Amino acid sequence: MIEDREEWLADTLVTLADTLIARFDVVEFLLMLAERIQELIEHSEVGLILVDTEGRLRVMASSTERTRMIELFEIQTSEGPCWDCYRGGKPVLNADLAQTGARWPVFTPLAVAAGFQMVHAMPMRLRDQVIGAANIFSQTPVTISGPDIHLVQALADAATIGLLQARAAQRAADLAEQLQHALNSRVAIEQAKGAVAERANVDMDTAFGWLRGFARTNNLRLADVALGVVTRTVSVETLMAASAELTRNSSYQPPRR
Amino acid sequence: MAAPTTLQASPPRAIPSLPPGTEPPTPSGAPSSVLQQSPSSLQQLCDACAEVSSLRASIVLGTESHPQAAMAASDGAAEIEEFQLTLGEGPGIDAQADACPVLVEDLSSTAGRWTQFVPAAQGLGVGAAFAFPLQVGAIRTGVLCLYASLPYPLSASRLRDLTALAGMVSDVVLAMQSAVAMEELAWSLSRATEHRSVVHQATGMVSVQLDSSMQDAFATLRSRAFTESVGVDEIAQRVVERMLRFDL
Repeated sequence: MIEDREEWLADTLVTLADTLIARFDVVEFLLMLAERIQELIEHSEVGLILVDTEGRLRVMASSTERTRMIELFEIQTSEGPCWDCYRGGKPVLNADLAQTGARWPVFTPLAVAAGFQMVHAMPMRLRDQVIGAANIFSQTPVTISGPDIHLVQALADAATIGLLQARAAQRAADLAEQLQHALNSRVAIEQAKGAVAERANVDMDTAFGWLRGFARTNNLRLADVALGVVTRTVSVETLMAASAELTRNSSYQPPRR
Repeated sequence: MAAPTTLQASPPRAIPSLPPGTEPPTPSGAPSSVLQQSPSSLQQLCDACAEVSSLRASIVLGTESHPQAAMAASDGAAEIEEFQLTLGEGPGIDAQADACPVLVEDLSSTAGRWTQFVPAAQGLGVGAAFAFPLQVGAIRTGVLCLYASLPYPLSASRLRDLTALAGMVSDVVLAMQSAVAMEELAWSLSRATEHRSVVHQATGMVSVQLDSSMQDAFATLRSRAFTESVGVDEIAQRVVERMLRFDL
């Protein structure tokens, strides 16, 4: 729970600005935003989902990056809060899963089985176009209202800005260029997770933690580290060693899982 | 410079001239997978792109170490491509290097980008250029370039079509390089489950199991899906759950 909201907001803005100035890492930026939204809404999991050029929903980042969660975000291929938000262009707020069985017959039982009670989706907009949505799943029936709605929308807007790298995206082509780049970065990270998981015999979540930890400590883009793993210029042993180093350093907070 | 018409239906060939200091992409130095496809299929694919888009098209294939190992060009695109590769600058070069599409709707307003390529291309009657990397995450196989004779504003639907075309070309090239039967490719594409993260995770795992490239690992998953008549995601799920291995 956030104790001082003003301090939290200031900290979030500073971190965002910092991320935009530094060697820009679009996936890390979106991961960070997902984590911030998660902090805002108690007992939640957050996914940032983009619509690719062919109109498919693609998961770009999620707050805990647990494989099970990514899959739950991914199943909304033709129904679910994210799909409704994208198609309708409006926020889906406080949808109680006890009452959405008819509205989302596939999504609802899977989300309930995963322990969720309430879901929300906030559009990521570029002018009048919806380019994706911030998806929030809550484990408690807590509702989002008032200032929190604006805060979540502000963070979703920040995701759009970050995705476009603050460029004045006047043309549809600008968005397509950035979107394709971001999607490919994400796919490369999934491929690298698989390679690390297989080589070190760990699960995907651990593999992700190592990749991210290594990128952070070495000030590298997550996608570049992923490419390094895939092309074997970064060895799994190096990742493991870096991760062990991080664990020893008490001041560092490893990515939550 | 060869007349464009003489290039029609010719096999992909090594790039004739490269910037000084560049390693010539000789067939012996090129990765074998790039050269596995039958010589005319790349040309056919390229011609199909030109026909479908009503634009001039070129496809340059390569890998990280050999970015320009083979190429094909439709009528009127070969000269443009030769300029781009010889000069070492242009939308296709940038698209490949940055792994992101480069979409130039009006070549006359590129603000000093590609100072040599732009006048050369304009001299060949090019008004707009669109370059799409042929890429699935870390799998980078080359670039598709499309050229229009006049400035060419991209509507949202046109952009969607061209991006979809590039996606299909990428898939076909992957299948060609791994010697996958076209019916296998058609099968897996029709299932439309390949963008799920589990598929990419499994690709990474299988590449380690087989000590192979990501391309070949991806092809292996597709091939198994075809053999078992299930979606690629189902095979991938089994791999990720460690119920299925490919090195046994």
